[in-house]
This record gives sequence, C-alpha cells and structure tokens, in this order.
Amino acid sequence: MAAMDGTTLRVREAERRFLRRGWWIFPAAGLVAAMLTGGGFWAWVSGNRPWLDWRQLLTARAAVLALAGLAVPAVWRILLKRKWPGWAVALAVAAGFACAEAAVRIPAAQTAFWLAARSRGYLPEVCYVRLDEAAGRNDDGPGILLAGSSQMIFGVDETLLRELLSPTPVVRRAIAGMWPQSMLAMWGRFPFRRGDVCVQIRSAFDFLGKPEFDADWFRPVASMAGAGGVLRTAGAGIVARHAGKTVDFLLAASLEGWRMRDGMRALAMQWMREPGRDGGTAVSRGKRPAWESETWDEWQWRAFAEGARRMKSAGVSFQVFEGDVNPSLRDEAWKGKRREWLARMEAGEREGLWHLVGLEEQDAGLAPGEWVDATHVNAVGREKLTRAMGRILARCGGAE
Amino acid sequence: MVFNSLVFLVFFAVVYAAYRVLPHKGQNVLIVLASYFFYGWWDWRFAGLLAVTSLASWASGLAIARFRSAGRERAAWWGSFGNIALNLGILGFFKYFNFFTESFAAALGSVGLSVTTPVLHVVLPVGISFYTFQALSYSIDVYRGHLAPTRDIVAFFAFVSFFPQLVAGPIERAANLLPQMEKPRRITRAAVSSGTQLALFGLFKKMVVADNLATLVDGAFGAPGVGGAASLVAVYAFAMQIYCDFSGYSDIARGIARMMGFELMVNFRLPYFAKNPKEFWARWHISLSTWLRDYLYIPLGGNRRGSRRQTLNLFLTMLLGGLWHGAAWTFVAWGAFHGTLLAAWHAWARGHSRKGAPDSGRWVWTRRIAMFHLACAGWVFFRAKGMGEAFQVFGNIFGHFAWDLRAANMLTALALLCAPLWTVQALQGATGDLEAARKLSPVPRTALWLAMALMFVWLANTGGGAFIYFQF
Repeated sequence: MAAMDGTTLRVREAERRFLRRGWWIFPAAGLVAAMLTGGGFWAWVSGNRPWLDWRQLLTARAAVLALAGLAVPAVWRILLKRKWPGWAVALAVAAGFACAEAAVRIPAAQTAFWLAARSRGYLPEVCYVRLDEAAGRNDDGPGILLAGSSQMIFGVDETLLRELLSPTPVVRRAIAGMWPQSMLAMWGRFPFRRGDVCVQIRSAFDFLGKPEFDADWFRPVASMAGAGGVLRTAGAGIVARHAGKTVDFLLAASLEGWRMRDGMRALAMQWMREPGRDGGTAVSRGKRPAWESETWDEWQWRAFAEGARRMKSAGVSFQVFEGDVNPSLRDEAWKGKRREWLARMEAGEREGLWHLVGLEEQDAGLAPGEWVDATHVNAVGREKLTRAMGRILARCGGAE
Repeated sequence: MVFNSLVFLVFFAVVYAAYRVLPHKGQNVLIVLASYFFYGWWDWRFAGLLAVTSLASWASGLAIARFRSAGRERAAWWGSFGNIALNLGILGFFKYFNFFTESFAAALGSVGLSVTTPVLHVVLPVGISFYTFQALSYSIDVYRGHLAPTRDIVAFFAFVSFFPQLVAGPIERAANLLPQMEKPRRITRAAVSSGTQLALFGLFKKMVVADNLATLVDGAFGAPGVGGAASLVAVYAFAMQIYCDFSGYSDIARGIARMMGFELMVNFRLPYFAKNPKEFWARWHISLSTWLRDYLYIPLGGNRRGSRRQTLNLFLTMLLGGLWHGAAWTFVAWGAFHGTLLAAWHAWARGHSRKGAPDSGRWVWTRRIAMFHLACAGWVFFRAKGMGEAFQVFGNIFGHFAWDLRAANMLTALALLCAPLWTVQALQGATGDLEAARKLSPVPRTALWLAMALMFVWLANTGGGAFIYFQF
C-alpha cells in the first residue's frame, strides 16, 4: 500500500467518521431501491393509484436489497486503506455503468419509466411506442403494421381497422414527425414478421423541406438496426456537417440511457405529477406547407427506398397510401408537387419496392369540413379514411 | 466555440496532440495560434481587438522600463497611463457606450429635455472584460515595479490570449502566468490525470447542474402566476446555477491548463460556505475580487484613511465591480448591494473586534445560512432583466408566499441535480482541500464518478448552452 499524504489521511478519517455514523443509510437505500423497482410505488407516483400500500413494499426482495446495501459499508471499510490507481476506478465505473445500462433495459424498468415519463407530459406517442415495445408483440401470425407520422395518428382508427380486418392482427407504431428518415432511424423498434404488411400514409410534404438532421426526434427511438442505414443514406456531407448530431444519434442508437434522457429530464424536473400537465398529442397542427418554395429532400427519398428494400428482404410487403390535403388547399402548386411525387413513387413501384394506393383508388370522399387543418382529418374524416383503408387492405388479402 | 461542445473537443484533441510533441517555443506559438483561432471562431474581427490590447500592453511594459531606466519617471507614468486609457477606452466603448448614452437620454428625458442620442449597434466582444483586466494588470505591475517587463512577445501574446481562460477567466496575473509561459513546462502523468478530472468535474457542473437548473430558473423567475415559494426556490436554483456555470468554467479552464503544464489560480473556494460578506468575496470569483482590491480599492486608499473613507472605498469598488459585469442598472444595484454589505460588515467587525474575534466558531452554520441568503438577495438583482422584475420577485417571496406542488418539484430537482456536488463540497469543507474528492478511498470514489457518469448520460444538456459569464 502506498504511503498517504496528510490530506489523504484527513479524507480517510472523514470517511471513517461517516461510516460510523451513517452506515444505516445503505440498507435503507436498499429498501428504497426495492420500492423503486416495485410496480405499486410507480403506480402511485404516476397517479394511477391513490395511495401507497406499505405492506407491498416490505417483501423478500426488499430484505435481499437491504442486505446487499449492508454489504456496501463493509466493503467500503475493507478498502478504506487502499489506494486504487485511476484505471482501476475507471474500470469499476465502467462496470457499474454497464450494470445500470442493463438494468434500464429490463422490460419492467422500461414500462415503469415510460409510464412515468408519459404522465409528466413527455411526448406521449414516443412513450406509447416504447411501452408497446416493452410489452412485446403478442399476436400469433403475420398482420398489418401501421407505421407513420401524424397523418397516420389522425387518419386511422386502429380499433375500427382491427374490427374491419379481423382476425388479422393490427399493430401500430406511429409518432408525429415519423418521416422516412426517422422511420429508418427507429428500424429496430418495428416488430416485423415475414408475411406482414406494412402500411404507411405518405404525402409529398413528407419529402419536402425537413430539418436536415433531426437528432432531437431520433434520440428517444433510435436503434442500432437503423443506424447504419441512416448514416449510409445521409451521406458523408450531411454526417460531416452535423457531426455533433451524428454523435448524439449514434449514442442514442447504442445506449438506452441516452434514449431515455429526455424523459429522464422531464421526470427530474417534475418529480411529482402536476395535474393538468398530462401531455396531449404531440402532433402540431399543420399549416399549409409552402409547396412552391420547398425542394425535395433527397435524403428522405433515399431513406424511404432503403426502408422499402429492407422490408422486401424481410418478406414484408409495403403498401403506401397517398396522403391527402384539405381540398380547399389543392391549388396549382400542390398539384405540381403531387405530380412530381407520384412520378417518383410510381418509379419505385415499378422496381417492386412498394405498392402505391393513390387518392383515386382510396376514394375516401373526404369533404372540406372533415379536416382539422391543412393535412389532418377530424373524427368523421378518420372514420371514412379508416373504412377506405380497411376495404383496400381486405381486398388485397390483408396480411399475406 | 464553447468548452461544452464537440467542436471544442476536436479542437483541443488536435491542439493537445501537437502541443505534446512541440518544443517550448513551438508550444507558445501554438498557444497563440490556437487561442486566436478559438477566439476568432465567435467573430474573427474581434481577434484584431485582442491583438491591439496585447501589443499595446506589451509595448507599454517595455516603454515604461526604458523610460524608468533613463530616469524619465513622468514619461513612464504616461506610458502606463496611455495603455490604461487605451484599454479602458476600448472596453468602455464596446461595453458601455449604449448604456451610458441611453441612460443619459433617459435622465434628460425625465426632466423634460429631449435629446437624440447616437444609435450604434455595438456588439460586445466575448471575454473583453476578462482579457482587458488581465492585460491592464501587467502594465500596472510593471509600472509599480512589481514585475519586470518581458521582451518575449510570443510569450506575452500567449499570456493574454491563453484559450483555456481567455473568455471567462480566471483573470490571471502576469506574475503567475507569464513566467509559466516563458519557462519550459513539465507535464506529469499526475497533472494530466488531475487536470482531466478537474475538467470533467467542471463539465458536470455546467452541463448537468447549471444547464438543467437554468430551465427551472427561466420558467419561474419573474414569470406571471408563479407563487412565492416557487420564486424563492428559483432564487436558490439561480444561486446554484450561476455558481456551477461560472465555477464549472473555471474548473474546465484550470483542468485544461493543468493538462498543458500550467497552474492557474483558484477562482472559487466554496463561496456558499462563507460566514460573512468579506469571506464571501474571498471565496467568490477570487481573481476579480483580488484584482479589484489590488488595482482599485487599495489605490483609492483602502482602509488607510479612516473608517469613513474605507466605507466609501468599499462601496465604490463593489459598485464598479457590479458595472464590470454588465452595462445595466441591475448590475449596478447588485454591486451597490454587496458594497453596502461589505461596508456594514466591516463596521460591525470594527465594533466587535474590541470584544474579541468577530468570527469565532459559534453559530457557524447559522451564519453560513444567513450569508447564503444575503448572497441570494443579491442574485435577484443579478438575474433580473430589470429592476421591476427584481422587485416583483421580492414581492412574490415576501408578499405571496405559498407552498405549492411546483415549488416542491423545483426543490426536488434542485436537490437531485446538486447531490453529487454537495457531497464533494461537504468533503472539501470538512478537509479544507479542494481536491479532496481525488483522495477518496475506492468505494466512494467509484460511486461518485459512477453517479456523475450516469447523471451525465441521463441528464446533461448537450445542446452547448452558453456560459453566463461570456456576456461579461
């Protein structure tokens, strides 16, 4: 053991004093940890249960964790006279970090966390997707997987569609702003099975004037399975221009702790749920897109094609429903952009990447009064659009 | 380019790799080039201003020495005065032109006279107050004969523009940093290790504590509908935010400098452990408070001309210290507040010194808590966008105090974010050693770094939030 200088001895003496007076903190912390990993406590924190039943907290697990907590001051005391080199501390920190990372990936921890984050007003659709993911996909066979952005959230009534297509299972993974590039980023979160049909609603504006690298959107849902595709389709220029965002994205793709960080911050800032701060939908009410001035985002196109190719190789068929706009906004600029969009979509269809269901084929008959804004339908419009989708999917056999 | 950004990480990695292989003279040239690149990243035009300040101060040092050796004392005085006037002129123009013209027009307007003031949209160069004061201290010290002037222009330019502390201090004295520039430096493994740890701790303070507290403070400070308890917690949160923001910057600067073989001065010494205003200023922004003491308070007469004059000197020094922070009446009020506190403390201490030591061990924590609250009262002026907002916050706290869920959440967040910091500070306070955390035994040392690593991944603001003191 290396000799210790005066300050080190003073520090160690302070530690010794602390251990004498505060050893009980560690078994108590074990009890708290048992409480934090119990569903009853989080149900209470989330406001889903009005009271905390203390009997549920005093369990065998609590006793085990309290004993484990008791081991901490014992080990501390044993190592009190040791002086570890920096690398040994770094190694121990890395091991502890890996354990914490493994712990937050446990489905029970995921469920507790995303429920708590949702009740703090943190992006509800992200929470729902992560909660669904933690629960796993429970149906038997190939089914319909609805993926997409706010047009899917507003436009398709999942329950009604499930009724219309029964017994084919219908699964939804939709978040506002899930453009083709974002969908590729969260690729690992789609529970695709061979024979599934992936249904998306896509419009020209999904490929127009988007933020070049929306790392904030990617962060909570990024996946390692999508990281390579995102970077490949982005190209070296975009990656170099957004080096910081690329690092952020790659960290999110690798670490669950990084994916949870926005929710963590929401939770840290609002530990006790403040009434009235439950999040509504994260969908922003869309204004009329500036079709005239916006140019095609080629990264979105590349990402869309990459996603389609991945689906094809996974044995998933891909149905793209053309997204509509409020009929009062169908001006010449929109028509022009739509023509260009259709031409590119039809080219992809000819390559066998997807099947496009145009507005004419959908024949949903949406009237101007059935829209809440430029691009999203209201409840009446949603029912019409869902029935049209159900009719078309049933005609082509739903899940193949 | 800010410390808490990927760009800086890449910049520092490249500079440091080159620095480690270069000889001493080459290292100094690299420091100058890297520092001007670092500074020019904000606005390259202001790099010229930095060069003018450096050149004028270096030349004035040589001129003072030459005049003095020729027995021309008056010319030496003019050499020093010219440099001070030039530097303060630049600082005054860029920092205070708008403030004084607007205040002048407002004052005339209040007595019914309308004047048209010249409108210049003067952009404040980042860190101008810091490097100006650093350069000024050199020529004053040379004039006073406390320091021999340097002929090494590269070392001097490196001293003024040294990128770790260029934009937000510590305001180094030439007597400390310039010899380190002039002599070859030895970089030990221990220095690299402790410097890295200090810089990482500074990043933790900034990115985890200060930036998250900023969201609490911004949402509650002077906002409509915020209760008294939430306002009070917002003031506490700002006290921790500004401490972590500024001392975090100083820690990073000192850590990086240490990795390069330099030892910069300690800028913060547990300021909220202070038991009285005098001790607070011996612990808070030490490089500024000692600068003001040596170059303003003592030349004004200090405590050598009686108690009344000392009171006036303290008040004037703190008033100008407040104005140094920014061109706004809130900073003037903050300076006046601290000047009053210091003057009152000295008056009280004079009265009690006859009965015994004014600062005995009794009631230590009571006095610490009282001093913390006095400092918090000052922070209200410092943080407020105007005097109206400051009085609104005081009105909320004293007139509409009610405990609510928002205040409870804010207090919980404050405690959660500051927990590792307070643990380290408790240890520092108990041992009297600012580097005590590095001397912990394996279990608490691992636990501390693990907690900070997890908090960094889970909570750090990676958006590159600017440091508060950059605006000064």
